[in-house]
Amino acid sequence: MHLVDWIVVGAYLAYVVIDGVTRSKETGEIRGYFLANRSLPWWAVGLSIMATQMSAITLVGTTGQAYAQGMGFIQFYFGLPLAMIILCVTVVPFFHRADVFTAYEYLERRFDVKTRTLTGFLFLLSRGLSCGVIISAPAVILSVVLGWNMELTVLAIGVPTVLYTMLGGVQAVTWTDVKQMVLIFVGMFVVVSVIISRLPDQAPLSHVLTLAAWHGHLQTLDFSFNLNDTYTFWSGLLGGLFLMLAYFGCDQSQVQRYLTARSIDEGRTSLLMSAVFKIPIQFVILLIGVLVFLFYQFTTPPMLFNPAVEQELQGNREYALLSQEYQAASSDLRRKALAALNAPDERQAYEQALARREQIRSEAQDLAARANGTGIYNDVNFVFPTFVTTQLPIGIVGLIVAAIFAAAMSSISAELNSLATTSVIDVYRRLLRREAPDRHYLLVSKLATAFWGLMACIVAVYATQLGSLIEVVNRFGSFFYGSLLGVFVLAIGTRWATPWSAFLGLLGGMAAVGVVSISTNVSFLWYNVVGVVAVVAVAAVVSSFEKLLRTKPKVQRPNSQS
Amino acid sequence: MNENSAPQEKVEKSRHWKWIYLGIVALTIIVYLLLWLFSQAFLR
Repeated sequence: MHLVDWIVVGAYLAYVVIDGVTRSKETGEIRGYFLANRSLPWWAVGLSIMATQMSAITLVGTTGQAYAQGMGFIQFYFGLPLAMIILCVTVVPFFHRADVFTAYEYLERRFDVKTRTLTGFLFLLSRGLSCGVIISAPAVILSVVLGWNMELTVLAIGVPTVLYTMLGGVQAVTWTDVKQMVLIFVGMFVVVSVIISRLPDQAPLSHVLTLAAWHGHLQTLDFSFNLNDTYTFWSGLLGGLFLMLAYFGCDQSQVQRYLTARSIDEGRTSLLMSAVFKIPIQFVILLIGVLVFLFYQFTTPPMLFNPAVEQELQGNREYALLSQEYQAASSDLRRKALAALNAPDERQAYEQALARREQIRSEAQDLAARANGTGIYNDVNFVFPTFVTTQLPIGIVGLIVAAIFAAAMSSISAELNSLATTSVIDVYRRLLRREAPDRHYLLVSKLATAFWGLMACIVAVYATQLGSLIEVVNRFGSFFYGSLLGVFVLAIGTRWATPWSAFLGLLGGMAAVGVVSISTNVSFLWYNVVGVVAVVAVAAVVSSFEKLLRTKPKVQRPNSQS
Repeated sequence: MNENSAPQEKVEKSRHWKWIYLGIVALTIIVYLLLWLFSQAFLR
């Protein structure tokens, strides 16, 4: 990275920490620290909700996914708008009126302490681990692509985030999220502009997109109904609906965002911002991946996008031969792509040239897989950062690296804040020390933030060697999310559910998801549906059984009518 | 008069939100259609 890029990244990190830390003046009490005294405007909360959801994995992983497989991933978000509407009608007014710090606190009021504790514990477990993955994703990639030390990269992301989250609380999280979101938008706009400007003069964007369409990369909708396929219209609409309901309705990292809104209406509006803007934003992110794919039709891409692996194979004879073939195939592809743009009859020749180059790359990937001893090589997550560092001009590289940092930090800060809230409110204050001055809880909250930050950094260092990182995080959440959602459905949507039925329903839901994931190939997006149905079914059986046990046998009198 | 204004306001507010939700559902359907059109537009 050039000195100018370093200055841009350094300036971003310094600004974010200073801006975040200055917010600590307004958070002298636990209610201010965790809920900002319910004073934040809808647009800031709405941007914070989007920033929390958009991690560095979203920026880096999904652009790589679009490069390799096209834009089908967008279907993952199809259930989101409907989920937001359902949440606006149900949980937003419920949580606001209940005046709770956490979603799980509400469960004790409706059921009992054991359901609250178990859901809180599941959240801490799943989010604690996923927070590590969210740091490790950009850290692994940036350390490899930029040649940085892995541990130092984790610390460069983790330490500033922990610092401003710990000192500034939810105010710092929200207001830095707003600025980070702006930086991400600017970064996306700049990348799109640069790629379009660097396409060959003979290949305007409107023509070039045809190449992507031929390759199936612009295929955004797949109406086939197959439970084993992850990204189809139906899995996105139905499976995604349940996932989004669970994520935005039961995951404290999101619930806490709209609990800080000034009123119920502002909380609703903040959620509806995502309903309106999330799919278009994700469309642009995926389009960046497709544009990178198109850019590399006319410029030779690296045969392997992981520069560290490519470096290791430099002395390998087989790799050198493949490399020569790859260069020739890339030149041939460029010629045929340009020809096909002007004469669609040349489409077949272009597709053959592309298939030839992909074949050589696939052989190189096999070679890398054999060489590293694991038999697995996946460089999807390296496509975008490698493109940024090798193709973008000085200054812009720093801007995009800062945007990747921003995406990571905005998610991590919200998660650390919510992990600390659940630890203090649902565990420490509820189970360990019920009566203490506010000052004491504030100190414990800051220590809890630091603890979870440290945990996340440790997990991040060890969470390397994962495939497509975005799927890992989503899969992990899916094991718990459906069942958590099921419990909230019982709490808000039924009168008959009893404390034991909710608790056993939650355990039954997780067991059902476990069985489905082990014994079938059903896509992880459907786990949430399975979880909700299983929780409600088990709870219905248990509560009926309890009712039966409670009903005293009536003594039949000879002339009485029952 | 005052006693009736609060429920009336509540009804109007609820109606106002219903329209917003309907608008978002309509907008979402339009976005799906635009995505489908986008995937077809460049096939030639």
